[in-house]
Amino acid sequence: MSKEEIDILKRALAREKASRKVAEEILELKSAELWEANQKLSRAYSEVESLLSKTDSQLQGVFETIVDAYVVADINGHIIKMNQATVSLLGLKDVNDSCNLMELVKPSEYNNVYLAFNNIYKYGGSISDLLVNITTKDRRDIIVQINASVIYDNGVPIATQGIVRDITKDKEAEEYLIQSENRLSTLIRNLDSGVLLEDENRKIVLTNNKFCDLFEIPLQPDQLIGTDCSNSAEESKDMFVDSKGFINRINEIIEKRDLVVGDELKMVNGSILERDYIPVFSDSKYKGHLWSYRDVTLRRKYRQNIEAEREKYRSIIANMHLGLVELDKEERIIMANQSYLNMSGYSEEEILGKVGKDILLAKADRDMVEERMYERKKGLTNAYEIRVKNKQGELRHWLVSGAPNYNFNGEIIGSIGIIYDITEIKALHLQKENLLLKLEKSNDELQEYAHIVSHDLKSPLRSIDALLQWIKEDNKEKLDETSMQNISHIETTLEKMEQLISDVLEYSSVGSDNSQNESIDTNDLVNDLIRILYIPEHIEIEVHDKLPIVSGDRTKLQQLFQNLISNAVKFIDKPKGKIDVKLIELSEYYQFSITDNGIGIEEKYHEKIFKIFHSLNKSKDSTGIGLSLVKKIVNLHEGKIWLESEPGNGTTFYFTIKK
Amino acid sequence: MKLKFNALKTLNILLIEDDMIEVMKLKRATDSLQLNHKIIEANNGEEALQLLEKKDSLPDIILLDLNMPKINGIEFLKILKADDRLKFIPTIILTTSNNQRDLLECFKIGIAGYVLKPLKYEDYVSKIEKLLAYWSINELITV
Repeated sequence: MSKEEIDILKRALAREKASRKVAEEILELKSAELWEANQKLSRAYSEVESLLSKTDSQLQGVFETIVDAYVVADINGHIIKMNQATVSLLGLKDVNDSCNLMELVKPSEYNNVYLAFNNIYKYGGSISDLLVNITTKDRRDIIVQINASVIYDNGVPIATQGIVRDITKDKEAEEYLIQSENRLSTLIRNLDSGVLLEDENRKIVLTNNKFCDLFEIPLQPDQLIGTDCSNSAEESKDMFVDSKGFINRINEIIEKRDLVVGDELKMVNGSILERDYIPVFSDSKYKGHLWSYRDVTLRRKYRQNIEAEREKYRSIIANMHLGLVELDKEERIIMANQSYLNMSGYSEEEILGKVGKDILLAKADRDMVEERMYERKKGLTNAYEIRVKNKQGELRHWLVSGAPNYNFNGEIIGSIGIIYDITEIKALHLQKENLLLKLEKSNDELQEYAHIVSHDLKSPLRSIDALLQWIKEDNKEKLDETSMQNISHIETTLEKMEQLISDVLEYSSVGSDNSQNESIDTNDLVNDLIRILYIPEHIEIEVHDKLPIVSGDRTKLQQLFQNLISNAVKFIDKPKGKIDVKLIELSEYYQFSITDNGIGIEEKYHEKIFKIFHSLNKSKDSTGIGLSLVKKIVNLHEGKIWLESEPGNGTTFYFTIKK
Repeated sequence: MKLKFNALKTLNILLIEDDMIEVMKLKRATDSLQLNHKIIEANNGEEALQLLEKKDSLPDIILLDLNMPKINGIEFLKILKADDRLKFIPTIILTTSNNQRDLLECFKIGIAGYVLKPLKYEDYVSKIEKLLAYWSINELITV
């Protein structure tokens, strides 16, 4: 290598050395600058980092303490992050619990919610005030309001964050408000006061049925809404007695806009109204006014009516023929009407404050009355008869109807008695009873008398018969044919006489009612009778119907049938006799008939034959009492007897017996 | 017949009857029946009671009419039945009254029979015959 070359190389090296030194110096400088910058950066970064973490934790605190539920969920609805409010709202375990929000949405709303979120994922924007019905994890049905926005990562939506609020209560409150508004308007509509609400332009806002009634407006309250009222006073003024005053007063009130309570208005139809005026202000700005009208006619007249009623009853009480007495708890008289005073004979001064039973009551009735008073104190109402000595000392019979008297609290404060003087009625009653007793006695006596008379009449007959027999015995050979025949006539006459006396006695006994009513089977009775009675060979008796069971006296009914059948037998003059017994059942009676084909009875005798001693055919076995006895028996059984007859062909006797 | 009757007891009969012919009837009837009964008459209750005071000669039976003056039959009967001794004397009512009330009353007080007087004398005789025959065969309480 040449020097030159070496020198060249040496110079080159020296240049290189120098430039490297410069470069090194520059590098050194740059390096120092960089370090410094790095230091700065590092400081700045740590500042930022601490700032960030500070903000982050601040935010975290906000979320955790925020009243509303804050929740971040991925696009599928899985919760990524939430605060404590969310936990309690959704019924989760804690903030780390996992949950998919879409699962909580009610199936019916699922689609809506899905679309809403899908929309913001696609097109951006946010969801505000979305109302969703959800069922929480702990099975509560609530309504929530959702406000949400999308979180992006490099322009790609990765999650949503949102605030969820439980507005179930708000919803309820809202509904409650609507309901109560409805109630209020129903109430107003049916209020017993007429209500009219006008706005500041005197247009009707609200009115009700009663208002329409009072002002005789033939429309529904709803139809009046919006109507201008500026002229309505003029229109309805004629309904009021003071029509001019009515208008003036309304104008004056509206002018002043002051509260008015209790204006009284007299209407032409006699009603009295009371009117209130209430101006309505909102933020001290006049917004209209409320009129209310009340019909106070009844209330006004109430006192008057009470007075009138009281007067009416006072006069009834004073003038009625019944004695009225009011007693206090100690049975002292505190009020007595005029009739009571008249009945007792005492004056008001003499009797007030006295115990009625002490001064009036006959001793014998004291115990009974005390018993009744005791009952009355227990709240019983009762009626009883008492004997009373009035001031004049006369014995009077009173019918007392007593009732406990109560005060407003329902406590017994005494009693009220209504008294009817029944002395006269009582006397009549006693008289009647005495008469009945007397009648009974005289009936008895008559009965006895009939027996005695019949005995007294029968005895001589026996004596005559005995004497006749003795004459016959003692003069066996001496009496001639004629005398014997005459004696025989006397005997027959005696028998007739005996029968007559027996019949009369029987007739008089039928009336005396010692008969017993029992159920009698007339079918058996008649058939037995037919067996017992003497019925000649040529007469046939036929009972056509089943005879009924009637209520009556056996002996008498037997006598009735016996007499009628015997009669029929007796008067049959045909070679072949026929007697028919028949029955027709009527609504209240049984009608029997006994038909014969005998001699018949002329119509002029149809009445007479039932009279006593009216035998048409004088014969040995006919005393003329039989049919009158029959009639008497029928009458006793509340029936009737009559006959149809054709002289020569036969007779039908009809009689009825009450069922 | 006669033998049979004779075999029967002779009765002391007290007949209380106000009607003279009735008395005659009983006497004649017993006569014609040839009965040896002793008939004592009393025209009314008072008289009968006087007779009955003699306790040593009391009748065996009494035939009593109901309708009599002064003390009537039923009153007499009551007095009789109230007496400790006399109440044992069988008393038969002999009357024309068939009043049910009398009949009931008599049996209530206590009688030994109630015989109605028939209209016919021959019926009467027949009844008396049976009546006395019955009491003739009866054992009676004596003093």
